[in-house]
Amino acid sequence: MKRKDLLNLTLGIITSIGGFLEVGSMATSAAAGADFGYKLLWVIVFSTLCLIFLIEMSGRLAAVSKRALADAVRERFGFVFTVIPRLLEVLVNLLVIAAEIGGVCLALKIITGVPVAVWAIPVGLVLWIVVWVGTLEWIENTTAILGLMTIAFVIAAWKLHPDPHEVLRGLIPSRSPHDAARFWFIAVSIAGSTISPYMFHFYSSGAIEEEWDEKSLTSNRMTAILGMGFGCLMSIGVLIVSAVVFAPKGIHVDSYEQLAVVLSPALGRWGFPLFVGSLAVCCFGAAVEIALATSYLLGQTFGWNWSENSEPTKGARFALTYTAVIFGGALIMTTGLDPLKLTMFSMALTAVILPTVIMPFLLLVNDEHYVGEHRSGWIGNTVVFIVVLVASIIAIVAIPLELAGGS
Amino acid sequence: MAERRCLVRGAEALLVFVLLTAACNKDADEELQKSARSWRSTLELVQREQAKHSVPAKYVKQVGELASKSLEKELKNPDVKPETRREAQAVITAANKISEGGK
Repeated sequence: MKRKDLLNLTLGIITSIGGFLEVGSMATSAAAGADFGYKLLWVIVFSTLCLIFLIEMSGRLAAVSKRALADAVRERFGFVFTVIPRLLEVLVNLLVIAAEIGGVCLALKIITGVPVAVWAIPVGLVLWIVVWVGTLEWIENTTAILGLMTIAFVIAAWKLHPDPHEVLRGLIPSRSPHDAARFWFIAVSIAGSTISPYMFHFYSSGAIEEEWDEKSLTSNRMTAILGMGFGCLMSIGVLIVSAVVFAPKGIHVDSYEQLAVVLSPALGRWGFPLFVGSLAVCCFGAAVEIALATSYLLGQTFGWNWSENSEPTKGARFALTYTAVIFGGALIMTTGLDPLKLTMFSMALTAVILPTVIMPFLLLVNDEHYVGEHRSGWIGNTVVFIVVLVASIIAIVAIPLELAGGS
Repeated sequence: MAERRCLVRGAEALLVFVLLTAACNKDADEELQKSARSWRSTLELVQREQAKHSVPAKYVKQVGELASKSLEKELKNPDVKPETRREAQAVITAANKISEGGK
């Protein structure tokens, strides 16, 4: 491997690690740790395994077929089949971006005391300027490298000396020790936050923008495995820290404000600024990715010009979409909705719509016409199929149960 | 035809299940007990960290206000037992003290 390729690969892996944690993973992992100790660690691991396969598949599809995911789905299955699942996805993206904007606003609220609703539009405006002015590479690298501060959760987890036997036991699937509805609701929310469809659209569209070809397959695989694998450690870090700091005291995470103190017992004075910084940067980065992924998704579904690297005037509908999504998300946050509840439900809803996104995708990465000899193996197909289907079914049952119980 | 009828029945069963689960609400008293304990522990943790200068006063004040607001909302439920109500009131008083002290 040439030095330049190695540098690109390293940057790709760092980007994946830094971009892994966002408001969804943070909230769901923290809630899991506080309510059920280490019992839901296995869900993070299984979901990440599924994500690794899916990210690798979306990069491979783009590199070999020269088509981004939504583009290939429309071409293979037709517009009518594609349009309803895509619109559902856009709706879920709108809720998720609202939650991410809410995360940035909350970080600002925690520092200043000024309410979330006041911050929503200014945060949306800054977000929009970044997407409007920035190039894909700059946006990806800057937010993800800043996002590396989330390593603080892994360091804190290490410093808190969790019981290794209990941690290992958490990696084995188990049933709920109490409150089954809440247990499974958090489990599907973790799955929804980890296996986020916007990530595949963003990744495969990025691969097209960066002109990947079959030579990129090795770096694609390594980015998926190492980037997502190490990224998963951040979520595990959040869960462990929450399990050690909150669970023994009976603290349930009802608001992000409670979470802000979680790093302090391990990291002292650094804990609070690192938490607030991680929340702001991760949510901002994820919001940028969701805005772009939604534009890619609609651009490819409706056959518009789509590229973050070209001037907004050359892709007016692409630019209009991210503008609408960003300000739509910001407007939702001005209504005073609870950002934590919005996050948890949008993540569970993501799990509900997963099969509509993943099943056509699975068929494509097994279609010789698109991927030639680079078809998926049976292990990847089986893991993805089972995890997605099970997560979706549990989500359909768990959401009304959680609504009935009141989160 | 038989397959379609089967599908309709399945959908009906799912709908009934969803409505039934939505109808059975958790015990409000038990929920408030849990919330009161959770907020009391949160306030203790936050105060401990404030004493070590790990968290700013503005943040501590926000947690106090949030605890008080959240518990007061839950106290509005008429199904709450008097002893649980007293427990929650005590946490609200502590939370109010903290939020006033953080000014």
